[in-house]
Amino acid sequence: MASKGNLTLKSCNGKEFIVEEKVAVMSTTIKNMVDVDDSFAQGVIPIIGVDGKILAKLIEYCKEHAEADEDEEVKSEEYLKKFDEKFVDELNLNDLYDLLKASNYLEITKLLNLLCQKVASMIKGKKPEEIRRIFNIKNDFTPEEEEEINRQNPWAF
Amino acid sequence: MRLFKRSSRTSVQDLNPKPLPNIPDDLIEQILLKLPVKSLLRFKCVSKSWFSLISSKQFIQNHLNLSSNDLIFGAGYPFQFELKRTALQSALLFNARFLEATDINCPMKKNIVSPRIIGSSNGLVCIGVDPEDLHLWNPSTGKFKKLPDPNFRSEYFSSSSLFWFGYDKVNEDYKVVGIRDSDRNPFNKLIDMLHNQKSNFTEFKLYSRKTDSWKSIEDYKYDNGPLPQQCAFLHGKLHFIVDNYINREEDYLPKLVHKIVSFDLANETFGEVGQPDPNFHDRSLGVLGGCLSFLNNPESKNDGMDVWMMMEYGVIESWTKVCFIPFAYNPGRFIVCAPVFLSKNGEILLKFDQYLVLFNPKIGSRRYFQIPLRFGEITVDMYVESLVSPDDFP
Repeated sequence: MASKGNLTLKSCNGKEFIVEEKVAVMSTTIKNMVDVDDSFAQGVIPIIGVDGKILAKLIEYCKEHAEADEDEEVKSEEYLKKFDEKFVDELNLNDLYDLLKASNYLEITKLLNLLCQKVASMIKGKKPEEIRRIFNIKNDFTPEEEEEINRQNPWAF
Repeated sequence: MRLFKRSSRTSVQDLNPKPLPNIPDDLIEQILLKLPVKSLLRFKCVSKSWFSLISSKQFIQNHLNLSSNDLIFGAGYPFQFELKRTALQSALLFNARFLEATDINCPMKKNIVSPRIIGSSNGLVCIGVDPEDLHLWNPSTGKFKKLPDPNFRSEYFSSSSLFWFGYDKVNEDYKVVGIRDSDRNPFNKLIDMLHNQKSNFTEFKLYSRKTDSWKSIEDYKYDNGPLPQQCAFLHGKLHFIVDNYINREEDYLPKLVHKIVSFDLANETFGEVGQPDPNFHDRSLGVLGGCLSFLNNPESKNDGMDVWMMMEYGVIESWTKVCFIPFAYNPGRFIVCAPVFLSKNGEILLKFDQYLVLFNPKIGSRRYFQIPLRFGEITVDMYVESLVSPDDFP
């Protein structure tokens, strides 16, 4: 059991992490759980659908940002920017996707924005057919319709 | 278009071999909101659902809200028009020595007689092509529309005109104010006043994108002086300085009185905003940090400018002299020195002659950046990239 001021988070594959409350409540979902039901603050909070590896990553991110919110002297804006860049650059595609889903579910807005920005920078130069493949999208336009849309936006190509 | 691209060590090719597992729709939207306009236009043909998402009013608004500030520079001589843009962040970066800017391709470039930027709002730029031929234009999508002729009553060659542009949030409408003065010589107005005559008149017209037409605003009463030349858009109102001759019995000659006047784009009414310093010289209006701001050189010595900010809009007592910005050199002539931006840490960005000046009031430091345009009187405006259409939303 976690001591006062700490929370215990449990991943879907049974790994437990003891974290400071200020770190855990970077997640709006967890914050709401703790606010509504005091027993969560005492016991174990199950994090559904997030495995130990991803949960460890989430905690690493939230720890840096929670500490920065508390003490801007030690962890400046510049420091955080560098941390964020390194954090997303070191992710492989699977982890990126899992983190994206997890930060969406756990409502960690800052991280979600960072990851979406990363995906956006990866796809921004792609062609429409590459986008369809990446996102598993079926083209439901006729070739004529597609041509008409592209004709209206000649600057995009 | 951006100057500073994020470095990405995991290369873009990473995505090529394998598709992502199914991503929920709300996440797709979050990702698309972070894309530049050019990519979004290209991705409209991905599927019908992407097309309707990217075309939706809500998406366009959300995307606009996330857009970062750029600066747009324009300078023109007849038949020559230069337009450039740069990320505001690069102008504020401490170690930037040169102001790098990218060219903006202007689709109305041909046969431009009197090119100038009238104003910029939500990604739409109002451009003057001929003296009274205006276009609403989105430089990021390349779309533009020509505005109808304002049809002023007086002849152009015996008068002068000017235009301002702003967004009316209440009616979700883009509006242009056009002012035409039947006599461009302020001295004649003084003579007229001495003889208690009123031979000239000022026409004040308003264009609305919703109706795509101009209408006359009749109660403009500040026409006993030269045309106002400065304009600042804030809180849905255009603000400008008027110089009017007032003929009072106790004075020997009519007296020139200065006022800051506002025009509310939503309810189309005039108001007066009190000014901080009755001693106006070489002044200009602008917006700094969301406050109406006023530059003034009270001694008219061409050595620098007082910077005033109206901390609480509409409250005269809240005008505060923030600092005095000394000029690095005496320009030797009257120049328009305009406030551009106030950074988070209190640095003030000004346009001065052919330069942008970043002044730090705390330590008194100044940095000059030459604006990379070759000729003419330079206009500087804030700009954000957006999908907003110059046509009224269908």
